[in-house]
Amino acid sequence: MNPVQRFFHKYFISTIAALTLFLLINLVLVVAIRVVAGRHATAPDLSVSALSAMVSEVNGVIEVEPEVSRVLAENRAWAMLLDDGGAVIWEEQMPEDLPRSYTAARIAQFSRWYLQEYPVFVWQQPAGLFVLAYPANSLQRYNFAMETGDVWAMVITAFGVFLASILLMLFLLWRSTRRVERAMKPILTGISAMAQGKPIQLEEHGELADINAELNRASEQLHKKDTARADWISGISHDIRTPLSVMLGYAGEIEDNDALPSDVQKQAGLIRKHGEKLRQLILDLNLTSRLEYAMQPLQTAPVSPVELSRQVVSGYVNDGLDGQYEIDLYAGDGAETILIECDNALLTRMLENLIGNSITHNPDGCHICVSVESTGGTCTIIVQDTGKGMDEVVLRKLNAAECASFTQSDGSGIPHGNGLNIAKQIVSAHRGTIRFFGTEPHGLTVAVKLPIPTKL
Amino acid sequence: MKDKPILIVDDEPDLLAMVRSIFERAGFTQIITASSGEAALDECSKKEPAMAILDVMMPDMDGFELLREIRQTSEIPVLMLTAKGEAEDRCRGLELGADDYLVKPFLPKELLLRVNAILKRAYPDSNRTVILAASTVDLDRAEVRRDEGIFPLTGKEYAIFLKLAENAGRVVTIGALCQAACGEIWMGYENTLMSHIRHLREKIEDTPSAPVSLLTAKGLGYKLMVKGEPH
Repeated sequence: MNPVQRFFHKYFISTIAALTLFLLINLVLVVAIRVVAGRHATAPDLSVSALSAMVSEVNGVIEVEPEVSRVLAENRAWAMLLDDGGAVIWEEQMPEDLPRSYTAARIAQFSRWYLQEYPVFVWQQPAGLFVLAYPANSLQRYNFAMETGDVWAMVITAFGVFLASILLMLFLLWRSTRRVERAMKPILTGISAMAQGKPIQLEEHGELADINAELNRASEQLHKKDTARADWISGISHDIRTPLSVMLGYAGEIEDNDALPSDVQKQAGLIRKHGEKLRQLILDLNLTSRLEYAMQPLQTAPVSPVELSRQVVSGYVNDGLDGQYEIDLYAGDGAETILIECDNALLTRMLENLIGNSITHNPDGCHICVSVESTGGTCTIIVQDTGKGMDEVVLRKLNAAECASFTQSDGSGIPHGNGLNIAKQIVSAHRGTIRFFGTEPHGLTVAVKLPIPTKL
Repeated sequence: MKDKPILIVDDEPDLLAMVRSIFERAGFTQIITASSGEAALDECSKKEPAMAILDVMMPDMDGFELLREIRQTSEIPVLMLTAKGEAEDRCRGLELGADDYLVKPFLPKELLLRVNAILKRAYPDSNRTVILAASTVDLDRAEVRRDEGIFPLTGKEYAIFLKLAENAGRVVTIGALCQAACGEIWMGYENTLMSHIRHLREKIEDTPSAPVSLLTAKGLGYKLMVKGEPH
């Protein structure tokens, strides 16, 4: 999972967590409100039973506690007690306009609804039927009747609707996250590519088209700057080449002219030698700047890494390697038959730089072994020397640092544009890896791993 | 070889003078110089040089254009001098029919080596023999002469021997020899090459099991030691 996917995954999960928390808090609040409200609420049916208990018949006489009158007055309510025949045998604050006798049908009717406009509650007690009436329009009375099966169906339906709502909410949330992800992903990927110095071209449509356009412009400007810098380096190196050719040419001629004094020949030799260093520097500067800005188009072709190594090692042998150096080549099992897709000239340069590094840093001589191996889709080219090697700090920096450039300091302390840096850039351009480590008991080992294409 | 007329074209007078000086000191007797494309075409038609060295970047007519013009009337070998050194430039020159290219700045030795190699390829000597420790190889007749008799070389043996002779004293890689024998697609030819080398040794060496002329460079290739330069 890449960082962009991880971000949206986390975003989705955290939104679900937030919604779940929201629902839980609501549930808790509803329950809390019900509990608190229930404590403070005066349930009408409780009042009717309590009031009814305060009215009793003792030896044919209705006895009423004084509390009843006070409660009824406070609530602007009234009450009456009906005997079994429907006649009012006791009343308190009962409106005058109401009848004092009721039929069974009338009792059945008002006990469920209203007595005229008064909402009433009834309570059966030994003396008869206690009726408590609240002021008109102070209460709404409803009477529900439902079949048991319907109650269950309603509960199940309510649960189903709730579940469907949750699922719908999750789906909408997922779809909305996906939409945002789809819109944001190219932008985030583009920013990541720009950070790696790669040019980007985002599609300029959709809701975030403006941001995409801005990023495209930023990338274009960066690319223009890089191109201008690389072109400038290329131009400078081009302008230096012709005068340097003249200097090298005449210096070489003077050096080889035996008619001249030997001092003059030696001095010309020094000019030639330093001119050659300058030439190498220009070539390195140009190559490294073009590799840095990915402006060196790789001229890739199938190449035998073993033959390429043979060519490089033979070059050193043919050019007369000093006696203190020994160099040999070893091809592992199956390595002779593999082909890799690479730029022959650049990979040659990489190997020359690695061998050249072993020679340059070991003036007292060493044994250099180049080996080529093939294991599981990877070609490994190892350059190993028995020289003085490098200390751990430099090795760590070489392995950790990005390719240092001519124009940017990476703070690694590795000289910019040196052979190893260029080798790293070349390996990186071929999507390979390069590792530097010590050789036992002393020396340096450089292992370059390059992919072997399955099909060429 | 050194009496062949060589045309050098560059718009930079100092470089032109320096290159002329290099060739004259090396013994070349007919150096023609031109500082523009038009002047070069004029010299080409008048003096018919055996080879041309062209600078790529010149005002008015650049080296590629000049090469195209030259190729319309002549097949002389051409070496391109380029100050850019980028792969596209090299490829473009070779596609247009240049024989080789050299990137500036160059050393006098490099320039002479390239020109000599091109001239040898373009104008081979009529009586080319290679003198070895135990035999002489006649390249024109493709045969080995020894006290015991004359041994003809097969086509593949000849191609391999020629590659070794052109690089006498230097290690020639297995791949380069395979390529000389069977062309660009040579992978898998290594064992056959060993067989050809064995047959060559049987023809040119006194003791093929202990060769003194055709030596093995372990893991790299082979090296031909000659007594005299091919001539």
